[in-house]
Amino acid sequence: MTALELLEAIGDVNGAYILEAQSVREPRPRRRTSKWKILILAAAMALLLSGCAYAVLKLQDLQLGQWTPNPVFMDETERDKPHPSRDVISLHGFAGSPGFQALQEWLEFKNTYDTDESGQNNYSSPEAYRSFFCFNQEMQDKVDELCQKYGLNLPGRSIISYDAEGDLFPSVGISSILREDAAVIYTFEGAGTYFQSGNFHLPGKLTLTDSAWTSPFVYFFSYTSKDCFDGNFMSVGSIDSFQQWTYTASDGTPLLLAVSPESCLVLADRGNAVISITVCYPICGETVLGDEPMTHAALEAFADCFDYSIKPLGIGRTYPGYAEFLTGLCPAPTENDLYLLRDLDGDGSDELLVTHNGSFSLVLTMENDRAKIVYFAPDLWLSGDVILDNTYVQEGQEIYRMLAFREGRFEYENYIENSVLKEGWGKSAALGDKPYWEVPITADEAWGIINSYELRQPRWFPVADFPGFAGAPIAVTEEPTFPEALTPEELGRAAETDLEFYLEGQPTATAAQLFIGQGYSLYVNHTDWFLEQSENTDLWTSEYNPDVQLAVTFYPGLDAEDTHRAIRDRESDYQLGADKRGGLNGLSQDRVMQLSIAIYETDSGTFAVSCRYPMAAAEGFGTRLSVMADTFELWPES
Amino acid sequence: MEDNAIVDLYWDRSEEAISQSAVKYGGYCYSIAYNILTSNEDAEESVSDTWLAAWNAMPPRRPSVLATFLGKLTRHLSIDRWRERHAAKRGGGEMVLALEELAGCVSGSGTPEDALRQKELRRCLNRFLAALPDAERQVFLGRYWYLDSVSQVAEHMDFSESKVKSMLLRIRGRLRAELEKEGLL
Repeated sequence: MTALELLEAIGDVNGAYILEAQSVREPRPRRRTSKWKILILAAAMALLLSGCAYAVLKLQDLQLGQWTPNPVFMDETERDKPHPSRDVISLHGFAGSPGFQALQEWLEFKNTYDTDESGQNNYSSPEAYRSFFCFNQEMQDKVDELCQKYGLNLPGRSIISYDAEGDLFPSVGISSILREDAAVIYTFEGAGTYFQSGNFHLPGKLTLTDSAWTSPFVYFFSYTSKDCFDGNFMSVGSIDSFQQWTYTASDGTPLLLAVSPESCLVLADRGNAVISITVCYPICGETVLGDEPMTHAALEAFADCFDYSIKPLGIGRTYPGYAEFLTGLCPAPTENDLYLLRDLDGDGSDELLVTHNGSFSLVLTMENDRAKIVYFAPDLWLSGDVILDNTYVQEGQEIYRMLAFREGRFEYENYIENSVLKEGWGKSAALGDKPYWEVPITADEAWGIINSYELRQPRWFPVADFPGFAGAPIAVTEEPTFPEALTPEELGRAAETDLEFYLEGQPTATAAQLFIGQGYSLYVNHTDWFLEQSENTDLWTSEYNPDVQLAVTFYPGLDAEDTHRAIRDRESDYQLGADKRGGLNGLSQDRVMQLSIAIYETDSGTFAVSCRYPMAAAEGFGTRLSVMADTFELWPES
Repeated sequence: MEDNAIVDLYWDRSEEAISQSAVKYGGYCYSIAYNILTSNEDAEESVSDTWLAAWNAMPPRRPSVLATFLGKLTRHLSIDRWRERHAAKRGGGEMVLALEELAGCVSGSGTPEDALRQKELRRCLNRFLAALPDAERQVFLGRYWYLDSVSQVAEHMDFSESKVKSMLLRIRGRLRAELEKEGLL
């Protein structure tokens, strides 16, 4: 041993001793590296790792090459049309980054590969590869090769969600993709998709309410982790047709904005992920942007509506600890946010199982003193120490996954699939971590395996009771209570009356009886209308025309404004506008149906009285409905 | 910013991690580097190299105490840089003096230490340091970890220089005995 080797070995002694020695040393006069040098260094490191310093961000830095749409994947009516090559860009990072390089190789591979699917034979794609549209083992092997070469992960399986605010956002652990203070009217239309890796995307529509730009934006929002390779690129037509500029969003996020005759783009590099927002869908050259060319100010105002700080849940994400994770996930937990500690792999350390928003969807383990998500999917079950992750689309389209936690990761114990394509039940013989429908089995065999996993609901505990949880106590929703049903006399209304209305210009009367609901009353002809009652809604349907309906819906806890919002979300097929009495009124998108809604706000919530009828029946049923609806009265205050 | 938050920035691959590291530990790392290299430019380069090394190390590393993690990186990088400079016969400073002092603890053999012996050596050093009184441990590490001069150590500990020198002499003697007993010499 030399003195230098001893000196170097001293460098690796216990850190506590180093800190102790530091504590007695006085602050040294130092020459700080100048702030300018720090910024240069940071920018240089970003350049090294992402391939592009943000200050010079352009679409060209994301350009992968060209892509020619494959007619095999088009409708028959489209196949014979010419489909020119289009510029494509990466959403996995900039030129030189691992994700970019992997995607570039994948694009080159696909552009020259067997495009008529003649190599398909008997291939079954494991779930993890479905975003790549592999149709044979060779393509799947290419994906594996690229992941290994560039140190990337697969996105995991995808979960489709048809309810962005009620399902997708809570599932990925975010409140919204829109800023809370965004001045917009918005809807989330169509299906969104999220992946076990944390990637997600969804379509949406919003209209700015405090801007000179009044046309709605139809857009597609995408969150893509840079360490995840999903094979997806964005086709943008011709990059040279874009006007591009950098813009700092109101929250300080640097953005790249771009406008072309076909589409508009908003891009944000979040360091470990890229957020992209495409306005309009550039579908093979068709433009749906509208007649008015997009202005810089309008796109900037649109871009300011989004929350670029979101960090969705995903396998591999880590947090300081279980308590910190739960506090971040459920800062204001409800009775539907629960936890369970269980040592799934018998190593003496508990895993954290989490039911969020009523769905058991997360499993975390402690690794290197950090809480790490090791499984993420909705509606999980527990059988002993085995996780059951089932997907049921319809009979003939079911997947049953049984996973055991061993040595810090989940491994498949069984994989059973009932496949429409394969016309029956199958199981994975080799399992591994990418199982697929491999060996046919009978339905009896399938159910024998599935039923061998006995489901016993364990005892879950409220998240708010977790030791160290720093969020709010459980919010208990107080259901408004109405007094027992009042009588007509107590309401000061006659038990029966005649409703008068005009039919084809002639005055007409029809007998009606007083219906006393929870918190209200109105007159309805009980012989002509069929009543259905569900939680918070009383619905009358005409015996003569099922398209004609009168409904009274109670929105507990909401004021008139929130009720408007809830109605717009629920009735997204209608173009509703506010009327002079504070209600809503409008036609269906196909202009066949009319919907008018009167609003009555109370201390405990808001009633919405809606009349729905075909435009063709406006003079008949439409008139009757509005007369009935106008008899609505709230119970008198006690 | 708390260490955990800075480490999170590294894990999030945010360039802000470097800025925050520099703000919080730039001076600390610089002082370590300067003591070894005695050159502002070389010390600054070592500190810059430290941020790159930290960036490459996290993830997967997640140190609980960032100061010691970064300090060790700087120290190793600085000693490497010193080794290169020393080969070119440049520089001097406390490194040379410290090495001359530690030469009495070792056999002087040029045989490289294999990984197992290095591990044994680290364990031995930690046991040795744990057994030292606090003041002696602080003096020893101030001199041979931070490469402070004897006068700086004396100033930090509020001791006379002669007391520091005699303490270091005794500690080095005990260290040699310990290394011999463990068969590491």
